[in-house]
Amino acid sequence: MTCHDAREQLSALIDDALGAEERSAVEAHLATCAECRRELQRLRGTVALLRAIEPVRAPAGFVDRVLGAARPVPWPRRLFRALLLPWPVKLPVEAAAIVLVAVGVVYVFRTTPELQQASRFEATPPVATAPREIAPEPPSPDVNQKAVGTPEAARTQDKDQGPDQQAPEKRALEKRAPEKKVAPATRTFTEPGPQSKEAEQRGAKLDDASRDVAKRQKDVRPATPAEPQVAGKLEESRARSSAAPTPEPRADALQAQRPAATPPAVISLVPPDVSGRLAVMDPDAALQSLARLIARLGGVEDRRFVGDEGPIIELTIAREAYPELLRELAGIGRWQVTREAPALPEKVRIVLRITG
Amino acid sequence: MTERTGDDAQLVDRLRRGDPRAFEELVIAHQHRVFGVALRMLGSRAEAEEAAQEVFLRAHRAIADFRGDAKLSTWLYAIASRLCLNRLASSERRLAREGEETLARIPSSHPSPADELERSERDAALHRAIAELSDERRMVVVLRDLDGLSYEEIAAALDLELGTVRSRLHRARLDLKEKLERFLP
Repeated sequence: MTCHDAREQLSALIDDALGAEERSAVEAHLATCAECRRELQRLRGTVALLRAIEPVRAPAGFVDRVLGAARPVPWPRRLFRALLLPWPVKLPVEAAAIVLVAVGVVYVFRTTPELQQASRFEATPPVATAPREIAPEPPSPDVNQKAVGTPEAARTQDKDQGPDQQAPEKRALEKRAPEKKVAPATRTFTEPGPQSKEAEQRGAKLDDASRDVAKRQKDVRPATPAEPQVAGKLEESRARSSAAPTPEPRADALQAQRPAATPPAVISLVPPDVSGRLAVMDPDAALQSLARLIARLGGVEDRRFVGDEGPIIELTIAREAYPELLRELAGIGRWQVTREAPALPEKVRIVLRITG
Repeated sequence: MTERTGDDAQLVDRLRRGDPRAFEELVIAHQHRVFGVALRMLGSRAEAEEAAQEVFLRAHRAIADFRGDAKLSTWLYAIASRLCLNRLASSERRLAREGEETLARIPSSHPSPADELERSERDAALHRAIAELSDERRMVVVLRDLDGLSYEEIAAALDLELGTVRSRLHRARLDLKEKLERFLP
């Protein structure tokens, strides 16, 4: 055995980890090699130094700390720790909480006004105080046909209005409806002045609700007319009536000479191009003449209502036919323009009030 | 391989049944060993305590994995050595150890009086020499010469071949012998 081989085994010799053969071979070499014996001695000395090192003791309280850490922590505390501690690291969570609260406040704030509006509607007396309010009108059985017929206009609007928007006010109006037994059912149409967009939208909501009111009013006795006004959503109605013009039944209704419950559910987003009053001796005859005139000029009667002063007709004719319309109107009654757009569009939208 | 004591078997059974007293007994019985290995390997007492605690928590969770053919202490050494070597291997730890001699500063439990100057010098040299060993060699020498494990137990704890344990231990001792030459006969 060489010195190198013997020295490789010295640690195992010290640890008594050699097989009998290996051990005797190493011992045989050591007996003849002083250098290797010296090496073994120093190695023994090293191991002795190592084994003389005082054993380390765990710090006081270690066991308790381990047991505490091993104990299952209740989940709320675990969650709390995970989210909030240590502060410097988890600060963003607090920030997020603040943002959440802020968002919640804004949400509540935004939703509350609608509720307030709803309660305001409930508190409002049936007779309108604002020009946009529903006009109480003496209803008539004849015109109830209209009440049945017109909702389609309102339904058109239903599609435009998100249900969420109209729902609260609609509910409010439905609640109110019973109180209005004596009132209204007619929707009168007057010239819609320039209104703010918001006001128009609100008008549309009201209008939709008023349809419900009108449905309940079929058997209700007339009441004193009050000031009225609902704007017509003319653009839409124009499109609708050009697709399926239905002036005849309305004309019939008007022929019956009874201003009646008409829930026309129309709101104008845009003022008409022309509006005015047509003072006539006989409104019925005037209406018939007008219907013929409109037909002859290729115009379309978009809508007809009964206002507090008399029938109101909303129509659309071609710009070329407008001068002739004016001439013919002069033949029917005294035509007084209250509004005329400086530049007329190709299709002129006219609102015409017939007064006695 | 190693004899398994009846106490171990009983303790393991109770641990598996979730007996909280059993876990306490386990920690009490092995705390110094586990903490000692962690301290020799990691150098700082705070880090050693944290690691030792983690060793017991892992044992607590994994008691079902304990094979009854080895001693509980060997199993705990296995967990401790793996945990320490993993910590030491992390790049963060490597950077922190640049020029570090924390192990050399492990205080001796005996304050050294003036007449024991040589002894304190020797101890300091010894601890520094241990600290300067490679992690793998230090682990083997700590388990063998400080904790007194057999080659087989070391092989089991570190998942090494017996021959690897033998040669690694011998290399470690040779390293130490060189550094402690002046304190040797």
